[in-house]
Amino acid sequence: MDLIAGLKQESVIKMNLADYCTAEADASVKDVLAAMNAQHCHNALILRGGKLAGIFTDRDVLMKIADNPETLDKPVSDFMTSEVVTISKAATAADALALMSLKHVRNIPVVEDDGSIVGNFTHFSVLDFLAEKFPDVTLTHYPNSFRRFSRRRHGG
Amino acid sequence: MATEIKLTRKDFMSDQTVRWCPGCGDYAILATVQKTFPRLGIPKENFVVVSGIGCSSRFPYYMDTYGIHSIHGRAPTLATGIKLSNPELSVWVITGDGDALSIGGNHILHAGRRNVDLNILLFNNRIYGLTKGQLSPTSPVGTRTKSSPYGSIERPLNPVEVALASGATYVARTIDVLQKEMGEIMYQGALHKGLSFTEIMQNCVIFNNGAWFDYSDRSKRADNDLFLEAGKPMIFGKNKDKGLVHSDNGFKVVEIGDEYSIEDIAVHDPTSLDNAFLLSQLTYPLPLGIIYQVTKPTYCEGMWGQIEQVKAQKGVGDLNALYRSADTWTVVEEGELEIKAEVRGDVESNLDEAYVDEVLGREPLEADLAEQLSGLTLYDLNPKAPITIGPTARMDHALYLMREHRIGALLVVAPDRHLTGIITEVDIQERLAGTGMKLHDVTVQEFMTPQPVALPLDASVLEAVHFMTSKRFRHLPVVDDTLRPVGVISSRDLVEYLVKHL
Repeated sequence: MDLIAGLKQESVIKMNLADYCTAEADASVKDVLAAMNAQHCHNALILRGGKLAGIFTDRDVLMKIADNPETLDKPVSDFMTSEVVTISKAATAADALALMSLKHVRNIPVVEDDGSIVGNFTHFSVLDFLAEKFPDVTLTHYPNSFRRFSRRRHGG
Repeated sequence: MATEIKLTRKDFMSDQTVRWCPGCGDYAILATVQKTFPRLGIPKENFVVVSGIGCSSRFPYYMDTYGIHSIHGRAPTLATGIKLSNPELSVWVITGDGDALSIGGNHILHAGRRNVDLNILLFNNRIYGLTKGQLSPTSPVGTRTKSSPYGSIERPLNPVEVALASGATYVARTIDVLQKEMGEIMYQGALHKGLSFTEIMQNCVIFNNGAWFDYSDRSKRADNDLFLEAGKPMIFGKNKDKGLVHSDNGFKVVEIGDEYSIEDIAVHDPTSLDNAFLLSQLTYPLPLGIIYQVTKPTYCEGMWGQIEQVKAQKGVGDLNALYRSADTWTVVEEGELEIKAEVRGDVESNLDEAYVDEVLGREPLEADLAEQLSGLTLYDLNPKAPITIGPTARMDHALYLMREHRIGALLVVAPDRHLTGIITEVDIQERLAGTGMKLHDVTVQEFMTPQPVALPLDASVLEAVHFMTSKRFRHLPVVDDTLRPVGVISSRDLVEYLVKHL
């Protein structure tokens, strides 16, 4: 079985979809940032009346917020991406991945038919799937080739 | 409305004192060039004379035109650039046997094969004159000089042969004493579309006097020189009683008389490369005049044609966009650097033992896929070139780079270029946004995550999967043996590669 065949067999809701947090659309950027940081999360799905209204990620923070303190008190809906690419929970993991590649996005919220959120599909979902298949290599074996910065000067 | 341009020799004479030795052959060549330019009907401001280094290369000072006394051997290169950027110009390269065939031996070849529309005048005196008399690449075997006191053991280059071999489309030869013929050859060379190459046999009166005596002296030249004319039989001699006929080994000199009539004499065909190569081998008689001339597309036509064609297809290019598209880096300042170390926790201690036990109990993926995966290295992934920044740069610059390149991670490199830290969009979100930090007041090294985990190119792809899943790193730097960054892989890169190749 190859990886893509495995993903085709796997329903998207069986994947790890935990990589997100939620916030309300009228919340201030400052509050949303605080919530994201508290939960160590970098993708906030923005809700309005319980339905998905947009997405706000660390990329938005980098591009729009980081050096503009005046944005902090404005509602997050001013800075979120409101056209969110979503996928039905009936789809397979391979569909979600193909959509991600096609739309060139990093987050695909998985939604119920009524638009309520089931989870968030990211590249980590696929990597986690793969890691489960190779637990001995990816999880239990301590990698031996990685390097850390050394204080020793090299080449000089 | 074009008006007729009327210039005279005087228009091309500069106010500089000519500093060649009295009796130098260069004077005659200078005078001939100054007399030839007015005949061409080209506005004075459209002449450019470029030279390299050597006695002859003082030439641009004495011409009242635009000119550059350039780098040793590189005049053809510079002239190529001038001609390409403004094809309207009449560009002349003045060079010597040393400048063109030793130091610039490479450049002359490429000017020839590209057929750049230049006029190259090579003053060949078979000696290094400016440096006071050392062996040159055209000095004959046995020449005794200060650098070859027991006689040269090097076989000389034949400039005409070199020009023909390089692909020049106009190759001629003349002698400094024959001003009228020399002027005509320069004139024809200037009219020629493509590279015109003229060897001018020139006398160095001080260091190699009489090198061409057999061909230049009034008493000898009628017998030894063959003046070529296209479509005419190749005859020579005081009484025009000798000529060339084809033989098995090239040309043979014969007397016109009983055995050979004028009909038997070979006719000069300047469009024949074979004919030209055979002529280049002759020393008796010495062929002078236009040895070879054909028409071929020039480099300028090719390049400008290609630019117009691509512009028509793709529109005008945006240099700035191209420049910023990829593979840029920041040169860091030199200087001592103190990094505050912040060691991360052990990876092993973060593992969830219960989870590991649970997944170990599952049915494994087929063995061949496992094998395939463990054999893959980051090298196979072909990591993207990293965007780097120096530790003393300011954070506003870091932010600018990340936005400009639309990237989520910047690698911080020390002055000796090894990896010292990383800045990611996660850091920006968690530790910068909303803190009121003044970006310009904070340096990269104050903000970055020091000692980032990095993997070597030969690390298994599974190790990258390990770090990304267990540590939730979205970017991993890839380094070489000396810890210098060679790439970055993102979780997207990794997933897209795996899906495509597994």
